[in-house]
Amino acid sequence: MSGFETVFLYLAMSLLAVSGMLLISAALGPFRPKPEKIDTYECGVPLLDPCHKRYDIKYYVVAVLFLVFDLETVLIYPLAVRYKALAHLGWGIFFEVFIFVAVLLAGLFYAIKKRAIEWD
Amino acid sequence: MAQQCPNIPEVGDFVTINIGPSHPAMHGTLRVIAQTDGETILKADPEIGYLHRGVEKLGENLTYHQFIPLTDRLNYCSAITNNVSYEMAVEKLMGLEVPEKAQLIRMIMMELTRISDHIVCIGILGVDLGAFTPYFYLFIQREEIYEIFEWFNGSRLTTTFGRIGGVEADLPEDFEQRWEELKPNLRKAIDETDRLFTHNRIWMDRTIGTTAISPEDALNWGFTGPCLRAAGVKRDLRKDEPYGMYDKVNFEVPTGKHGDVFDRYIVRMIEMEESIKIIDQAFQMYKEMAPDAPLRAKVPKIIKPPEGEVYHAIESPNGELGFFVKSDGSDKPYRIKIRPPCYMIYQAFPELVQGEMIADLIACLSSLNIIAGELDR
Amino acid sequence: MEDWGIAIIKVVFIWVWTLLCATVMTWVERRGAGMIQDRLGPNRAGPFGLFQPLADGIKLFTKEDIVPANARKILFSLGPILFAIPAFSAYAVIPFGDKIVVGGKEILLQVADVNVGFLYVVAIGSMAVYGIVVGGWGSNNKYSILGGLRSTAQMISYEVPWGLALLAAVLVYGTFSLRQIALAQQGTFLGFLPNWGIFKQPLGFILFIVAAYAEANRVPFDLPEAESEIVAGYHTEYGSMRLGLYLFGEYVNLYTLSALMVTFYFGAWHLPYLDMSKFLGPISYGIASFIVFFLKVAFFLWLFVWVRWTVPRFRYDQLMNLGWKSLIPLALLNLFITALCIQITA
Repeated sequence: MSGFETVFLYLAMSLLAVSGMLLISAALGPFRPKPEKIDTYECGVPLLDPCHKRYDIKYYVVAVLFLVFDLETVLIYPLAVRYKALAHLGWGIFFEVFIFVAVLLAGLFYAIKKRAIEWD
Repeated sequence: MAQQCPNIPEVGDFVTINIGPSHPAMHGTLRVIAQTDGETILKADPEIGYLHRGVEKLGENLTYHQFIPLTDRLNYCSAITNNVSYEMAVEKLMGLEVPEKAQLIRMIMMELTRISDHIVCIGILGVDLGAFTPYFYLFIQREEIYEIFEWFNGSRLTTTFGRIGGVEADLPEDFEQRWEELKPNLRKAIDETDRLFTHNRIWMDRTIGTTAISPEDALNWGFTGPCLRAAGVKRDLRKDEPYGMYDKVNFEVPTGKHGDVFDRYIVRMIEMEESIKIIDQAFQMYKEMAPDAPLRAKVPKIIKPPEGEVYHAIESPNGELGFFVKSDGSDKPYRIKIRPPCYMIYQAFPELVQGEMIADLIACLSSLNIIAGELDR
Repeated sequence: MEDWGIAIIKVVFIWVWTLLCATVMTWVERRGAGMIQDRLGPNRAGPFGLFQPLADGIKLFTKEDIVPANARKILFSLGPILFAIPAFSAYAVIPFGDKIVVGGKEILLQVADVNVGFLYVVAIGSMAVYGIVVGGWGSNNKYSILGGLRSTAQMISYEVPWGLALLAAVLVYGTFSLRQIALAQQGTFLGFLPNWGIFKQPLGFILFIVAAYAEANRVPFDLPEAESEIVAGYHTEYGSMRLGLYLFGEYVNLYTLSALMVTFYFGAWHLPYLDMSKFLGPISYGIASFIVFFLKVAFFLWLFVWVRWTVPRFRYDQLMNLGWKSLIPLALLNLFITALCIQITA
């Protein structure tokens, strides 16, 4: 068997154990809900306003930036693993990496300049 | 179910974060309702009174001596300064002359209290910024200070120290030995804290420039104590309006420049060092006194100050702590009013944190050393 | 080729082993805190308080499972599961020793030596953020939601330098298989240094360890659960074993990250200047390689504790500045330099 079945076995083990832990805990623990007990925690006072409001857009800007950068990083992965072999063929591959990294850096500096990651 | 909160107008999509009264970072039962835009605080609204016990009113039904234990519960981190401040106000009202030896004992005890209060403030500031370890280094030494208090009068936190007209007892015999043991450890703990904090990059980033206040603003808001000195105003009642025997000891009054969290922290650090020096000098003077020198002025059994009113303030670890006492000639005060340093400082809090981030709100609160007991009375 | 029996034994062994280490880690953390802070730490349950984690575990199991009335029930229940499963599963492709020969059979001390182990680790490592954001949002509590948002922003920000730092290492080793990477670190580098990743990727290691601390939500990057600001962050509303899963998941993450550091940068099971396989028998070699690997992991676990009790925490904007303005440009620079060096020596 190749390694992947074992990996799936491992995942199944995690799933099983995690659900098992939750079930055991549910079985062992008491269950006596009271309105005060299951109320939302708000530092000891009744809720001031609903919690599911719109939160600041700046958190999401980070997420968008992440998508861009992480996806581009993923594109280097196949190149990275073959790089040593390709390096023997000459400097072409190096310049490809160089251009790729340069484009990424340019994008990063653009994002920084646009103050996408500054808070205020 | 949304509770109506009159102080906060309903504004669009901003999130109202309620910090306190039961929140891990709140010192006692303070409450701040912060209107936030993400991490930025648009408006902070402190709500006080969760620890209101009516101390001032209670005093009207107690004799002058019976009120001393209540003063313990004001700023419970520095009970001795509260006790002495009240006693000095009553003594001033009665025109009593406190014997020098008693004054020296008071001075030693008050400076020990100052150290322990600053330890609490700096330790908690560290904890609130995520650094736990210096807190323990300092608190081990604070424990030793409390041992001295306990040795002196049997209680640690609520000391009920001193009597009107003097102190109740002489320093314990082995005070010198205890103090000489404590001093190097205290210095070491302060030094370790200094090395862990002062030049720590993260610490500097977190504290320098956060919630800064100009000297003019600080004066206008009624700041006193370390917070005012951090803003650059050199005012210390011990130096400017000396009481007790503070005019006979040498010490420096440290000042900051920007009035930010870092300056408040560093001023307190230096003050601890200065307090150690004061205790040394005071104890030297104490040793030169005759062993049987009086500890208490001649005070009648039932204290009945003459009709009149008096205000007396001393430099408590937090700032100017004043007691206003009005007497109608009976054995109970007609009116007592306390001027706690926190109350004035806390007024400026909304303005200080406006536009800063949530994390800075906590840092600011800790560095101002707001104590609920003293604030709400 | 291995059969199913051995595979199952390995799966169960390493799964229990990581959980056990995570449990003991809670004890190490508290005793370590005690040691650093001049106090005792837990010392009541068993010798040196060693049974404290056990007692904590029992407590978590027998607590009432509270679901807040306002919570989004499904998301609330899903949060800890989404967090714990990737955390527990990430170790599947990381070696924990070289190999052991029992009864003529050669058994690799690794659950699965897959050729894309690196990808698996990166992929499953980034899953954890779902558990946090779902749990935070599902709790329907401002502190939880803020904690979840902060955490998401932090984890995804630091995932980029984390991945880039590892990528530069992959460039050096030329393989995605973590076992091949470990094997490649035998011998010496430049004639006198151990052939470890740290000497080939010093900057990469620094970037990796900083980003790893942020990924694991550890001090100085523990903003998501900054108790002085947002109570307990995304797990404010959780109790019972749901909270336990978050906590265990975090410690298992620490173990995985430490193992990654050892595998990529600290020569896995190799001792410097010494080839254990030359003078040890097949069984004792397997055990020795396991012990060496574990000791190295233990050092990095201890480093997590050490750092935690030493430094204060960042503020959100400072965290973002560090990640995007320092770590990512440096990581790209590191990638570039690595590529250049390989090209020159090719």
